[in-house]
Amino acid sequence: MINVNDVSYNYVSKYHTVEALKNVSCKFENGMLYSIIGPSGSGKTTLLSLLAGLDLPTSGEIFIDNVSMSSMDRDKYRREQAAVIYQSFNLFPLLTAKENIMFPMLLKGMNKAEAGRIATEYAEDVGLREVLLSKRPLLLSGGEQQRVAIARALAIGGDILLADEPTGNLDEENGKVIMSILKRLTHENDYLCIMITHNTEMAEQSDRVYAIKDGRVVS
Amino acid sequence: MKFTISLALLNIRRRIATSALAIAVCAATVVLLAVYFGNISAGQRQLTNLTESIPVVARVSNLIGTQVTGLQIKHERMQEIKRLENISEFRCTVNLMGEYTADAAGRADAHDINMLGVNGIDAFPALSAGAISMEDGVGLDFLDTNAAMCIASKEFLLKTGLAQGDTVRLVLYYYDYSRGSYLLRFLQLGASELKIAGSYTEADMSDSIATPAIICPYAWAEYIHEAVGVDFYADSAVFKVKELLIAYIVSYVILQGRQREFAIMRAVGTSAGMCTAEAFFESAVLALCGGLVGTVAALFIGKADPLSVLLAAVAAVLCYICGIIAPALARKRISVSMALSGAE
Repeated sequence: MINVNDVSYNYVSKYHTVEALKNVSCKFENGMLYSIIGPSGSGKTTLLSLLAGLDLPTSGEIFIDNVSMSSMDRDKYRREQAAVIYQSFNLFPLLTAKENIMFPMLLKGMNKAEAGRIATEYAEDVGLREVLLSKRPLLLSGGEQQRVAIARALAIGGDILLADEPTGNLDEENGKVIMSILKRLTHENDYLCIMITHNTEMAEQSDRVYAIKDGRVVS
Repeated sequence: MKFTISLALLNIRRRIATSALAIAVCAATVVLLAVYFGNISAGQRQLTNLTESIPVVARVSNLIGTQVTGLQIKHERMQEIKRLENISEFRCTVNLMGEYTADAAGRADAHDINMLGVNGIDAFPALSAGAISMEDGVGLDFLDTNAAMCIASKEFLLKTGLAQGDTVRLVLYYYDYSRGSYLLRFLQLGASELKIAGSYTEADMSDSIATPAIICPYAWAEYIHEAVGVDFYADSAVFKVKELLIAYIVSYVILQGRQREFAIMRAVGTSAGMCTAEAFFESAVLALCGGLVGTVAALFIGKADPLSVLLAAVAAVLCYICGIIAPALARKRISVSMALSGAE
């Protein structure tokens, strides 16, 4: 469960300060798929970065299972609990699909054989054919790369899935497949899935929609 | 730790062309340095002054490469270069024109006296210090001050009837390269006096296109320009670039291009320290491989003694590794989310 409590965030540069988020409060619970919608520059991605622990709020607090994010090891949080899926996939270009999925498990100290076995299972779980596992990301289609990214997120083994426009770079058919995978993981595996999207059709499939405008949650 | 090492080795293997380039650069650096150090010890020069710097001569000169005239370097630019930490033995020149005004000797042609301002006699390589006869007790050090003194050619002294120890009165002119103008003009700076502290023979000069009749301190010329409120431009600058930068630059550039990759590592929970350790280990392996190849090559060439080769290898490897530290520290400051979204 994530509690966002009166969070503000400012981007401070040498010449000016931009208020990206203003007193945002919202709550996210496991087993639910949330969508965050809003126009470009409204603060959606900033909120997701804060939820991923990539940055800390300028003011306010974010609680993960009632533990303040500012007091926790945020690297460990991303290593063990929260996974981020990006529109541009952000896979390691030099690693094969399987090695990309294995990465979080190896990072946690799992042995290679075990990590390889589990990676194959996760790949299967997201509909990634085994023949593709030995290929590097650049040789995969957008839909396949996003499945690798989701499998890597599952490999983290946590219960929080943060997705920044996960279908943004995909065609309609692949977008629907990715969306159905996210829905299934959320409801069957009790994940907490928060998705940023511009696509209202995708947003309508989620359990709860937060709309952000000018850094504030408006609905 | 085991994971960090295996990831680093995997990166080296998969990025084979870049890795080979890094090893080659490191090896070449070691060979060059070894030969350089070897030559120094062979020439019995003072190693103590050279262990921390490998001077490279940088030269600002005009298109025909004479560094004599035809080039303007803004005073501010000269000061900026001079202030750089990696610069040593900074030498600069400025050309002026003088009109000799002693009535007793008659008037020389108004623009006939070429004058050169220098901040050391080695700024004008056409004339060696040994070819100059100075007054007793006076050295050439005054060229690095703004003293109103000069050395004059014996041909000029003969023509004007002046001698060492006399004071020469001149009306000074400067070259005016007005912006957008293709014509070279001489504009008056005003009257001035210089004490003749030494003399030389113009015939002793080698390879000089414009033989100066008077050589005066650069800082004095600068002072005269400032006194009348005229913008001062130098004509040439020569300096040595210290520090072993090549390996540093290569390793820095290689790692800078991998910011996104490290941002992905951070996004999946790799700590900043582990990212740095991975980069450090990966680059250290490449630097050590390059150092080893270079050491073997330098010993094989046989131009340097083993001590020089060892010194060169250590210097190159350390320098390469230093190149890693800068982007690694910079990486700690970058926004992971910005790097992953492709924003600058």
